[in-house]
Amino acid sequence: MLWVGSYAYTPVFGNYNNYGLNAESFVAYKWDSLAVGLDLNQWYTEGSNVAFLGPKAEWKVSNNVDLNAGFGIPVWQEVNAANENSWNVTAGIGIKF
Amino acid sequence: MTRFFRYFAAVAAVVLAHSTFAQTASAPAPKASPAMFNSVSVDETLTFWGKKNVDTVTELDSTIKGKLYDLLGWHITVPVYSQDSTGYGAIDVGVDYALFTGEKFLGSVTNFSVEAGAWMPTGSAGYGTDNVNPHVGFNYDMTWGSVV
Repeated sequence: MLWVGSYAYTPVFGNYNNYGLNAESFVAYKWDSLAVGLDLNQWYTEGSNVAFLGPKAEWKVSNNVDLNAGFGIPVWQEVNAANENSWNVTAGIGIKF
Repeated sequence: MTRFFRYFAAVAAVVLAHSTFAQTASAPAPKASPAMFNSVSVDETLTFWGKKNVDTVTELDSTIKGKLYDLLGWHITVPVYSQDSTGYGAIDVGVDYALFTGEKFLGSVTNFSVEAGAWMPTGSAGYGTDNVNPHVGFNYDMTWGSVV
């Protein structure tokens, strides 16, 4: 969960907002180094909100490399028409030294 | 006979020396103090935000993070956005602290940490900010089962 104060750009709303609240919940089943589950990613700001729900996977490839990927679609949203969301895709890599 | 005692004394000395050496070698080594900067890692996260009525927003977050004295986590993130134009957003600098890790709670292994930081007044036109934007948050996870 993350609370953002003051005036900042948020891509999910596509503009600047005075504050923001982001809460991500990931419920997963683990097989050894792989975790697969459902991810709920919620965003709130003044008069707007959106929540993405979809599958996500995290894979610990080795002792020092992690991969993750996910896909989400809005399950509810109140966002100005110009910036309405239809989906999101995320992919990440982490390397430890 | 004197020669025998000399020989016996020499053998005893060698045995004693080896015995002392063995004890010294098996003694636990003193624990090294953690380095000021440790557990350093680099994360790259690419996210596409699909929009109904405008172009997709592409976000690339580059993060370097680690620990100070194995105690306080720190991170620096530089986000880059691309839609009608491409530019970088405010640079995020923050710290986190694990209040508890690996605690048994409701049959699970639970971790809980708090974090705080700020987006610095930097960035390109359209994505940056003129203000220091503080943020606070927490991370919480519970894992059940034997695959912890």
